Amino acid sequence: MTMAVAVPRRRGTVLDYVASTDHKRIGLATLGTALTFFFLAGALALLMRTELAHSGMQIVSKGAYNELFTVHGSTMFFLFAAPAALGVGLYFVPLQVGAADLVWPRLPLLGYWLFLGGGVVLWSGFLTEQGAADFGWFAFYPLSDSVNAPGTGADFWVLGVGLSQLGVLLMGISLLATIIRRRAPGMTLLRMPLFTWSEVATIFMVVTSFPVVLVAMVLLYVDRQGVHIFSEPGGAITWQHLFWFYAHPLVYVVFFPLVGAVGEVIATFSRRRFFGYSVTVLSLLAFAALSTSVWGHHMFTTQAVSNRFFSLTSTAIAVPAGIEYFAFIATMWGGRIRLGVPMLFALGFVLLFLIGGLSGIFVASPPLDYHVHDSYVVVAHFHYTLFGGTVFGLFTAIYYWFPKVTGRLLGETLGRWHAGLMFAGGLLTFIPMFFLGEEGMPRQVADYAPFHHWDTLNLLATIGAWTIFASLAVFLVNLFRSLLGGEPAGRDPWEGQTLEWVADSPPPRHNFDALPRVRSYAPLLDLRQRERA
Amino acid sequence: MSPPWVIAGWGAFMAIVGLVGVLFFDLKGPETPAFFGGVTGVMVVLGLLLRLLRLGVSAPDGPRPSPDLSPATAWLGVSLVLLATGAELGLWLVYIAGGMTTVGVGGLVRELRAERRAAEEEA
Repeated sequence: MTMAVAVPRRRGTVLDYVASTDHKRIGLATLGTALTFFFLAGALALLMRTELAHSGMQIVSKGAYNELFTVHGSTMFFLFAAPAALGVGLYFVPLQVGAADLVWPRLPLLGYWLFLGGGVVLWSGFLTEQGAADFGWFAFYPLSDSVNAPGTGADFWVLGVGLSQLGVLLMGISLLATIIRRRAPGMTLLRMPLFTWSEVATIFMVVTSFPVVLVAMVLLYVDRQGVHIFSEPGGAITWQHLFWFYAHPLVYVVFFPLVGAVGEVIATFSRRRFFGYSVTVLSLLAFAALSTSVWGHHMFTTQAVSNRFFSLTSTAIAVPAGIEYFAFIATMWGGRIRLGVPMLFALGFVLLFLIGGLSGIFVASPPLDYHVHDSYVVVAHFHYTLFGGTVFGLFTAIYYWFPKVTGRLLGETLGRWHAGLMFAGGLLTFIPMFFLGEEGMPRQVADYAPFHHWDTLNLLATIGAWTIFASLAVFLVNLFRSLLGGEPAGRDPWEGQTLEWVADSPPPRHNFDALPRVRSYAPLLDLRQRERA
Repeated sequence: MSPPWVIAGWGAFMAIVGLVGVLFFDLKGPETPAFFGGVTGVMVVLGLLLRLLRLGVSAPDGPRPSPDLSPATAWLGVSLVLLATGAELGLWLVYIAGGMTTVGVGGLVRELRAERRAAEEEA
């Protein structure tokens, strides 16, 4: 096994929290910061939903509403979902591959500070005279130029996005190097856990698409200083190419690692080996490649891309996605399923993400996309992928791995309430949006006329949003109760199948004292089966 | 199946998808083939480099110097954020952040030297 040189460790100082190169501390800091941004962005969503509950302006001005949806979307993507997906990886990938530490551990530490700093800079826009950025999270040009979006807040948005995504890129590079260089003896590529493979596929997207957004943000910043870059003929389309080439893979980056986590939870809670492991690994890689090939479907209505080509690549994604769904169901089939809280969230992921995925096939068809473009149908579609995929996936991971991180179990009863309320809230919030969009309600509007009769559906969506808020309050209560006095978890409360469950809970600095022989992608299941035989 | 092949293979898959676009569709401009070409190039070159430099295999066992803390890295991170923000808030902040960055880089060099010494002593 790999070992770190033992260095006497000081505990409890401020430096331990802000400058540790331990992958577990960086991972936790990243995840904790990302969750904080999630709650902040969620608060903005509640404000927006409350404003939209009835026609007429009640709470915020139209200008403030524009700022709210811009910072909500930007925070959810750039400051919550992407760092959270990588943060979980920073904590668990070294444990899963049997490594003592990360390769180049300073890189993710630097990445964390850039991500945090970028987030603070982006949110500082609210403190500036002209307010935060108000051009939407995709900053379409010329909405984002210095004429239409003057002011420091918009510049802060550009700087914040650039800094935070550079941070995520650095985290990804270190993780990929760790997977390549620090696997334990016997841990061949086809014995790596599914979660680790999903991180590999994620990082492929990160290393190829994130540099593009860095370039895009530098160019936009320079353009906003008066240098004509995107204001040249065709510049607005070039901006869309640059942005969507990054942002469509980003949509997958934010849930992909959680597909792996959900797969592991399903296998563990079905008490079976994951079905179709090799095919699923290949499908993850193909999924990632195809998702890097579909950015043009965001541009169907510009007529500046080949709609037929991007429709083909977008629809082809259904194949690897279908393989993964088939593998999930086949793993559960015939298994002795335990409906623990992680499994409930995993099932929620499977069901809600299915709605997002299937509606994605509709909007991958240009004629249908023309019909629903910029309407609430698209809002509903991507919220099912992000809420169903990222949020449910992340809570699957949190409930599953919390005992490993803290040594304590999260409360089962409160966890069930959390899962139930969140699932109901997710349906109540986003299903009405499909109908609203179909009836013609455009996205990113602060108000609608009463004669449209959209009040009831909007009110339902708002009630759903507050239900999600209630579920998160339950989670916070559960979290603090468990941290203060939760039931001790031991090393392996779920009968896990992968190497992290060999380590103490929480794992020591060097992770492992000894490792079992790795003969498959489920080494602990192998051990248990041999002991029973 | 080794990491260089997986990385280069992923790039090759992207090349095939891009090639389908170039051969059978009117891609309406250079951006689409350029992006496919870029991704293919990056991944194939990365895979080849790992293979040629023999970095594509898991490193041998044994103790490694592993820093517990790196205050210089955290300092550098904050400095870079301030440096970037200085582009917006003014030269005064750029000067301060520039100084901080220099101190951070110096700290990193110092940390790396200490780490190398520790590794030599351990060996």
